[in-house]
Amino acid sequence: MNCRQVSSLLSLYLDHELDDLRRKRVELHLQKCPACSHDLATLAKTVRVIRTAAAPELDEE
Amino acid sequence: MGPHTVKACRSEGRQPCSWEEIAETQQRYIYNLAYHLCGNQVEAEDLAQETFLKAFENLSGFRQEAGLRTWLCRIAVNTYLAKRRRRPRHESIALEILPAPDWSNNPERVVIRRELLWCVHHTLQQHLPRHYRTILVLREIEQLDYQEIAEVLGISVSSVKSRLHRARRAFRDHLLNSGCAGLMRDYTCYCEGVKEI
Repeated sequence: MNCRQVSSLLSLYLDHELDDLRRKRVELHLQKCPACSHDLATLAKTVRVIRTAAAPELDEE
Repeated sequence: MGPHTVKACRSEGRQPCSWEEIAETQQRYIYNLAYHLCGNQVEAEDLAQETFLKAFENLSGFRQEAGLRTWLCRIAVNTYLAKRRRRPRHESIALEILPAPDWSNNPERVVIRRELLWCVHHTLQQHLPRHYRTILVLREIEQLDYQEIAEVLGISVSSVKSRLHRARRAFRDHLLNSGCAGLMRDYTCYCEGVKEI
């Protein structure tokens, strides 16, 4: 897989919506591509930011 | 079974629900969806109320192929989109009206949390196209799966996948390019607020 193909699959990767074969191919690419790894990390943080903002907080004793 | 009784609980192995039961069990969920779509309490209350009114009027049209919640979501989203088409695009959100948990014993965290909430709402409401905002709310906030989103929006699962991907990128790119990049580091929002793009 090249960067363009991987880039188009990162959202599905985050949501665990890829089959095993494509998931492994994406992971192989991520291991050797810092740019795509960074792309994935920022997308993951984006999702986390939205979910964190919306999620009800538990009281801390 | 009465005229306002629905076999909506069939999949849960329960007896058919009364309208009152539906309204009571789904009220909070639909209000939360409405709140995240509208960005303020007043409009969210109106949208939730209108959603239940339309649902009540169209109970006979509920085919029970989709889940009851998905059906209500679809009504809420369609009502919201129709309303948005009739009003101006940019309206500011007052920080004070956003609900925040009571962490009076940790005021610094209250501020950070409120700003984070404000930034997310601000970006969703002011800097993303409606169809991106809607799909992000359904997925990230309401946590619907792809199939449910497809049913709510009346689009294919394949379209859900591609639209969600573009929406996430658009949200991220706005944060990175508009001064909200602090969110990406430590969840602290440094956005100045009313930056238009």
